[in-house]
Amino acid sequence: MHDPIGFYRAFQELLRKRSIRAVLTSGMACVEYGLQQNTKDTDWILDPGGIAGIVELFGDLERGVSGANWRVSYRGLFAAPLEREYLEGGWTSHISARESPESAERHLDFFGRAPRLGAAWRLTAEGGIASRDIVARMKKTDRPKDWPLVNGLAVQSFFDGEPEAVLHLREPSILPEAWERTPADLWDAFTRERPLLAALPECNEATLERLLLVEQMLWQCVNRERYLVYQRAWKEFYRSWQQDRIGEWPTAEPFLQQHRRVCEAVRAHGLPPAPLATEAARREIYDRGRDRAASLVAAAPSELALVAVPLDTILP
Amino acid sequence: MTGPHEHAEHSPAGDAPIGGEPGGRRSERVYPDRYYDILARDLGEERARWARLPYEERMRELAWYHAHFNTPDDLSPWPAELDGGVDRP
Repeated sequence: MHDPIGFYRAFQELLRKRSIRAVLTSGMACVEYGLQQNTKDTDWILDPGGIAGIVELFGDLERGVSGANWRVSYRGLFAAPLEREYLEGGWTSHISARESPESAERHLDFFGRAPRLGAAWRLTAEGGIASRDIVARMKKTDRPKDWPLVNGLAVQSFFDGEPEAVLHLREPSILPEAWERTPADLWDAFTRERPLLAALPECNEATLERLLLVEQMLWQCVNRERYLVYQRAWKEFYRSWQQDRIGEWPTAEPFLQQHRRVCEAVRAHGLPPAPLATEAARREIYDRGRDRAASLVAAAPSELALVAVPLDTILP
Repeated sequence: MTGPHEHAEHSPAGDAPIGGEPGGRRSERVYPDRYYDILARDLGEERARWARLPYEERMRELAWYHAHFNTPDDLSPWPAELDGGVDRP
């Protein structure tokens, strides 16, 4: 039986054997980067082409095709099926697994179009760990406890000489130095993605700390609005599905039967595959998040303008 | 101290590949004290102490904790990247 780290490595090996392209991200990636100690679940960004392969893999693992019989199940809450259409629409699939009756329950989460990464990112390696840049983007959630990890990843990047560090650094004593060292040919792209960088030459330490606070609040509030859109859509779907008297979800059925059941249900009961597909929908929640951020930290319009991360960066 | 941005290759945001290290093992890297001071301030002295350990030792320590304790963790039905988590009311 594996510990959580051994489990993720063993699972990664299974993905490699099936040529399913995926990278480890989020908490377990932060464990590998020496920043986080206490996570057990594993999060994976999947190449969309590998989504059907994952379903097949879980089915085979349950049948013991290549070894011990696993028990695999969808998890109960807020779970879209492992289907390309849904993962590309920004949903995540949440799976629990046991490699044997005695093993601990493992949680595996799969992203196709991961929050704050979007579809422009693509997989080029089989397996491996998401870069610090990617993990930092994904850690810009609405939860304050994720933000020290964003900074920790960025400080590592800075000391490793990665220019992308300036996109995520939150360290007032390092950010100006990092920006000064950024090659000039990157200035335009970086200031477009993070407008705060353009304000750095005019900032004293107190001003910079204030702008970092406003910037973080903008990310948190827009992310909260994003999350609420998916949560509302899922709750509406689930209520409708419950009217079919399905009973408890997930059912005790084998994984492939669960998968068929949930795939039929999302179509029959109208879970939208991509709730934020249109720019207008993304703009609406961006504006709501920005207004909430302004209210929570009493940000002046001039301050918001200095940190206004563009829509396609925060909600790609 | 190795200066930032030396020997770095840049992939423009937006069309960059998702990278990673095949094999899943991080290389050894010792950072300047400034980095561990930031960790201690933001994440606590214990995390900073652990982060200073060589990679294999860090992982051995975690394995020991997992073997001996049922640690409270992020094993939550609401994953962080959908902005959930055990601390969400």
